[in-house]
Amino acid sequence: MKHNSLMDQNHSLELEKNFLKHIGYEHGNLLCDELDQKEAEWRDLKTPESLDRWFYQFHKKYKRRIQRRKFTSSFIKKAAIILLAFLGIQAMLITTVEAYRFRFFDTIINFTSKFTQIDFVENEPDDMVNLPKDWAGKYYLSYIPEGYQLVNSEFEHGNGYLKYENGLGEVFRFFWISGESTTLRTDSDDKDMKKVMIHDEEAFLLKKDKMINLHWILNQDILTLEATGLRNNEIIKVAEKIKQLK
Amino acid sequence: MLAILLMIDDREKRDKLEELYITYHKELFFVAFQILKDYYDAEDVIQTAFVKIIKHLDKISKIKCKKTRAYLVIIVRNLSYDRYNEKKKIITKDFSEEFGEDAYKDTDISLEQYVLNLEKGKELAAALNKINPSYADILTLRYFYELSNPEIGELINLSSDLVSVRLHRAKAALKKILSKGWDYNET
Amino acid sequence: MKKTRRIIALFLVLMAFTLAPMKAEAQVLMPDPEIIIQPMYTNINNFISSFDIDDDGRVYIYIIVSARNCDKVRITAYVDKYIDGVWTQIGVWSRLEEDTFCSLSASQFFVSSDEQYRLRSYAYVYSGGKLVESDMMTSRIIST
Repeated sequence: MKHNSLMDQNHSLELEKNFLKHIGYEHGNLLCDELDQKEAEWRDLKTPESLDRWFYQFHKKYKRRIQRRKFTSSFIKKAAIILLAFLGIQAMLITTVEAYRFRFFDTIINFTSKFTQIDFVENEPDDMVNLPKDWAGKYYLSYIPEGYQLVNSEFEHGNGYLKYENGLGEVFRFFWISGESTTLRTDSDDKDMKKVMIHDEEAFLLKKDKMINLHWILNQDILTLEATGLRNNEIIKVAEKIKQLK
Repeated sequence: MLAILLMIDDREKRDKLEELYITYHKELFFVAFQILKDYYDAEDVIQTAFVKIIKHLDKISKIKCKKTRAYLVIIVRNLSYDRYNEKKKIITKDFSEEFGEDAYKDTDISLEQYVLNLEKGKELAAALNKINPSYADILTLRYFYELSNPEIGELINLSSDLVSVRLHRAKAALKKILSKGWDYNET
Repeated sequence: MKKTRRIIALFLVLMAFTLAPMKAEAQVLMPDPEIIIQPMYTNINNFISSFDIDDDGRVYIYIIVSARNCDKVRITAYVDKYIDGVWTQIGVWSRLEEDTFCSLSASQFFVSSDEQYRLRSYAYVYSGGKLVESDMMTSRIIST
């Protein structure tokens, strides 16, 4: 038969499909009728017990698989609901409770402190006394105890030190180190150790013989002040007035 | 063991797979045994059949109906033929031996043939089954159960290409039956 | 009901985890830079070292040793590279100061990428020509 148009072609195809579907339907019926005719032969047939045992195990595994799938999908749904609820409460607490908001952002800042842009202090000309000309070290002392003069300085890639001495030969040094791996080892007994706050960071004030050491961490840098001849409150004042160069 | 399954009186608790097995396992075993004449082989085939059925369980809606029954029988008997041929190393009789090479050409069934032979569907199906049961089964799976060629291949252990070939031959056989005026009552 | 109770329980656990860090912040946490304070030295006050490698592979070393009751301080530094399961020395620097304080810095050394490096720092304190104290520190491993 010649197919004249696309419509005719489609129509023929549909007819063919239906015809074959009908054949299939009849074939299925025939199979069932054949089996019905032989029912007497299979109705009382004893199937092997091993087959039943196999199916029992097979079915158990199948049910377990289905249950696991159901559990996973329901667990994911529950976890999603809980996560959303959790995030919702976090958001609500952050916006309404001030203390929580501070703690929350504080935690974020702690985690990202390596990359946090810390506000630098504007260079005040009268602030940078007792420093080498064109000082480009990361830190400088904006307060120097009376009588002390700069005698030595050094800086290199985020590290450096400043040494000050007075007329009595008493020295204090300020040094700082930064880098991926930084370690400070210092000597002290527990009883000579005090904890103080410098730049909102916990600092360790140690005394050994005539030497006072003050150590703390600021922006992942280790800062140290060591001095002979300075009192505790003075060394703390020096530390508090340390500034970062812009 | 089966007694344990049957003891679950509450039918709602029994799932589809269980119901299928309990309802049809005897006749399916019978179908396999008739072809293979061996208990172990027949058992093997039933197990294989259920492993395959489980993948398409969603296609079965009603358990106790002719459609489902025929579907299971087709799968089991084709797997049984496959196993039998494998064991005996038999190459199945090709359609061309019956009707010649030319029979493959032009498998389109004409509109007139369709209209005239619709009412003889039962006889046509029987005739096709007599020529080659596999042709009838594959045709049924393709057009009545609306499975794709790869799905059919996966169910009865044939490659997708071979399914296409057999389908083509099934249609050609049907056309030949229609054109030759095949004697449907011939045994 | 059982499901609801389970969800509420999970929810409370989550809330607990939210509140826990608020308490934890009160404790002193050991930050990434290490400050080790303990009775350990007779002459050394502070032994401090910094090791860094930038994206270009440039190595930065900075070591400070401050001591007391001495007249000389020496620092020696080694950079090791991890080769075939063994740490192999690839660079050495040293500095001696006739003082109670010594610092050593280096920044002109380059290393290759996709390797592991570490710094070994040694402090030697002398008094009257005699070695009175020494110590050694090994940095964390830096992978390039």
